[in-house]
Amino acid sequence: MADGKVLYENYEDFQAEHPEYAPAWREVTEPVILAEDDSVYGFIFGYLLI
Amino acid sequence: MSEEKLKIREDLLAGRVPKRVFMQLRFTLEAACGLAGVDLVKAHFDPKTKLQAYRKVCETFYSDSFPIENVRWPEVYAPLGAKNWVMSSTGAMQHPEIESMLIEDYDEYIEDAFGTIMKKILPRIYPKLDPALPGAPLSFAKAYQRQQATGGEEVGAQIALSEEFDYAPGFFVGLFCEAPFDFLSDQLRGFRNITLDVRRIPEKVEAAVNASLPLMQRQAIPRNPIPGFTVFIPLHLAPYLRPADFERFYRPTFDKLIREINKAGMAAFLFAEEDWTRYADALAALPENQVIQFENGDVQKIKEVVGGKQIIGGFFDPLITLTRSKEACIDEVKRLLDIGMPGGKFFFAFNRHVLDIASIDVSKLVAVLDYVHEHAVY
Repeated sequence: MADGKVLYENYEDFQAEHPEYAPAWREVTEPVILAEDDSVYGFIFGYLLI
Repeated sequence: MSEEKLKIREDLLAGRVPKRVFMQLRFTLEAACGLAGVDLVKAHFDPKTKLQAYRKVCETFYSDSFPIENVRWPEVYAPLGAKNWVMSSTGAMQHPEIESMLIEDYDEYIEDAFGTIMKKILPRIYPKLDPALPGAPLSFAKAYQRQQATGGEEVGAQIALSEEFDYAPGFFVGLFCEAPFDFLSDQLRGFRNITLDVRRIPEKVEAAVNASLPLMQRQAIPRNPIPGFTVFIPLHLAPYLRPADFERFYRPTFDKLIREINKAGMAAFLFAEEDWTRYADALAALPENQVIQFENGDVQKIKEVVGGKQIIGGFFDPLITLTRSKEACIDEVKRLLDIGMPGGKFFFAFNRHVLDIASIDVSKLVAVLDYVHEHAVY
């Protein structure tokens, strides 16, 4: 924040106050969805896990 | 690009006797920097320094294909907080033993291997991918973007040097997977745990290996496969398994994976780590003309059993240049060529990458490679 105040200390605080944003945010953090893409699949299974 | 080298490679992969023995060398970035006298940490992050190191290897040693392999890029692993690849104080990328799949995860993995990897295993190897962290997608995006960018830059450097030094493509062309048993063992259960698991919970290990096969098949075979491409598969643990365990846990899915790769019009480039002599029959039984680089083993027996069917190479240990005379090193390579060359289906490669330039005598290795280039002619 501009005045240096930390609005939310962590994700749980944000989620508790703004449940309307939480599902979308949770969805983006879910790597299963990302890995449906071939190039990302190759990054995970041909690089990160080998 | 050299038409002569391309023809030699093409003949070799087609199972024909080529004009001479194809030479595929492998130095690490660490060795290249040692040879060029440049700082390894700087080379990781400065493309010009890295190129300087690569060029020095190309200028010094004869090879028919680009002779450096560098795929572990710290800028990819850093934003993920990686536990599996960490940089040492000297800049060497180290691969510690890890356990990212717990013994109690077996049932879930057998039921849904892909989902278990995404939800549980990846965040244990890469803590910054924990889905509970709001920054996880950004960490993933950073790592992915860097892997794509560095990969592009790496390919660009290899193409530029391949044109400058007239190289043909090697056998490592970018496609990369593992045998299903090795995939489960390497970064999921860890080598120490898996050797206990095959005795404690053999049914679960067998089921988990079977669950890993489709993951590796999808990784190995692109949606639009390119005929003639090779898929690199380093083979880790078979030599440490008893024959009955090899037949039960390793061979069925390994065999199936290779056959599926071949059905797609490609071949496997296998690196048979440690000593595969006792499992030579299993390699011979694969579809014809797979490319196999051996680390150790009984060269004569492997040539007899595997050499008639598959394209074999490796065995030569460059470390002998440090302890033997130049003549003794050339005698050693003559012995290898005498066994390997008859009938073709043979290429020259080191048994392992040259990891550290201090582990070899540069002038003697130059003499060995020049000897192979000039004399290993059909």
